[in-house]
Amino acid sequence: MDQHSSNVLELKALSVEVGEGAQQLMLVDNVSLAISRGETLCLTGESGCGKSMTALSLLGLCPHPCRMVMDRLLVDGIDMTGSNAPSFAALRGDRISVIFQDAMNALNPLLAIGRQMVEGFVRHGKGSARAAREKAEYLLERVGIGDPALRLGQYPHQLSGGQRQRILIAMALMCDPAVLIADEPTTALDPNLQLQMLRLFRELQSTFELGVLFITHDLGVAARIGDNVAVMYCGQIMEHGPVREVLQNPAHPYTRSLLNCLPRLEPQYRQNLPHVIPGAVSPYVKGETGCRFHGRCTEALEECETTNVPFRHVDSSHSSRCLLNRYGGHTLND
Amino acid sequence: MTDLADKYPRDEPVLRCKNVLKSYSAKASLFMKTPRLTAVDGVSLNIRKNLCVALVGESGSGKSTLARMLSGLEQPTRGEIYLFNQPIQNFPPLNRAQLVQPVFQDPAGSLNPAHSIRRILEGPLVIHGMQGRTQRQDRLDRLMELTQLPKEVLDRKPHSLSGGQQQRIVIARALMLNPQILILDEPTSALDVSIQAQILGLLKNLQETLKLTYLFISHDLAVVNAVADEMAVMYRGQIVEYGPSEQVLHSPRHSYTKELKNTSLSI
Repeated sequence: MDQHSSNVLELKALSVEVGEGAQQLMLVDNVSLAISRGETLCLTGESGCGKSMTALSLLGLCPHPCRMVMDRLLVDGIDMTGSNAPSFAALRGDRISVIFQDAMNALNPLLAIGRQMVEGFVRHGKGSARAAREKAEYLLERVGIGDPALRLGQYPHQLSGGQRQRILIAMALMCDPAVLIADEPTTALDPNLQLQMLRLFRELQSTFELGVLFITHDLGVAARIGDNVAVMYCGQIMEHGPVREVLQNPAHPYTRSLLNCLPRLEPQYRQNLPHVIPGAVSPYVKGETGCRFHGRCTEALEECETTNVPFRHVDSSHSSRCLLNRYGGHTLND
Repeated sequence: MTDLADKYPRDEPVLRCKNVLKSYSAKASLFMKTPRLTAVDGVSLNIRKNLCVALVGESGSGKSTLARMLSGLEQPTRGEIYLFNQPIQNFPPLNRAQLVQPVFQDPAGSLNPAHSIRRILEGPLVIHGMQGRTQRQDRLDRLMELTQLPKEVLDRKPHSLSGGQQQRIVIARALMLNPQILILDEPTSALDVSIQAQILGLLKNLQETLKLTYLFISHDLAVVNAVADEMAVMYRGQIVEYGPSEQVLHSPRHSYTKELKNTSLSI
């Protein structure tokens, strides 16, 4: 992950820990990410791998008993390393916005849509309430909601699930953020709607030149929306690279296992159950050595249990954390 | 109730509906006649013994309403539903529950958060008057084994379990009374792909071991491809295409089925 001046998000060596002593768990371990303007990075992995925790940490929303440390966080050129809660609050909704999965619970049922959309804009000092309403109407139209002036007066329960999701997207764009974090925004939707939303994301992202961190557990979604993908397991990034490259030539056995879990539509897969990854995700206790996936890995070597595997280049843009890839490239300084 | 199922002829539909229609009255306004919303519009479907029949369609197509009627949880406005060739309304609810059981999408929402897993799983046995403690324990042990749940979970509460374990609990509870038919309403769509693969494998095993019949509702055609023998495609309350799953999935005739296939996000 090279540093470019065009990066709208740069995160270096983020770790999130919880608990003390022998109970100390690393929820996120030394994660580095960079997203350039107009790029979508998909962060993928099973539940509990630390992908949402990474997103929350970027927003300064790391929940209470967890401790977050990082070497560096740059958001749209602003150095947020070690910032306090008020400076994160000033940044959120302005330079960096977030869309959560559950469109029903993300909106306040007691307030009209207009009031909820205008709030952030005025609070961040972007202009008057009137300017905010104009902007809200414009954005609602952009996300495909007809009759925006009417919608602004309506309440969340008067809208369908798809409409609510569109409103959340419009709301996230109110202050022209540089970075958008989307945490499983399409997971609860049916495929047709999901496809529509993914298209909308793509369109908005190129119009507004957003850097998007798109969190999804579904590699099929990542294939449609992502430029790059990072696969996380037990708090670590296991593989990173261009989406097409990672899905077609996965370098890490974990990525291969995840792909094999996906049911397939082709006729030859009829009545063919997808593969199961043996075992279960176990949280990483600080100080344990070895590859975190070795217990479930079908290709594991003896040394996988004892060696802390470095993150290496497989080729110029594709890297992986696996001893099997040792022939390729140099160790990345993560 | 198991007698009824054992003697039942092999190729006869165990669950069958004929011209089923369900409509709800929409919000009434003062001067207008109350409009009616038709959720399910004249559906006929035969579900034969030991098969997995998939029901696909987008949100709002009426598949969940149909599932609720087939589980006996709702009455159709018009039309008949037959369970083992007898009108479903002739079964007292307790008897019906020994034949057909629903499993819903959201496992967390299907489990009482205040109850221990033991209490949740024993619930159906208690309601059906199984008094003996050892008898109940035996049944519990058997189902925990079948659904591959560790013993430790019995004294825990639902929130302390993973999504996959919660769904196993829901499935185990549905099987407590040894039913013949499971109505599975999107049983894996709230789960991770890796957990989905495990649950699909579990459902397949259970179907073979316990000779179950499934109605499997899903919006994911790739999942349907993996599990279904037959499939029905629902659109605006009607079944627009029905047949063996390989035929419907791989040489669809109806334009809606083709469209559905094109929106699939499978890679």
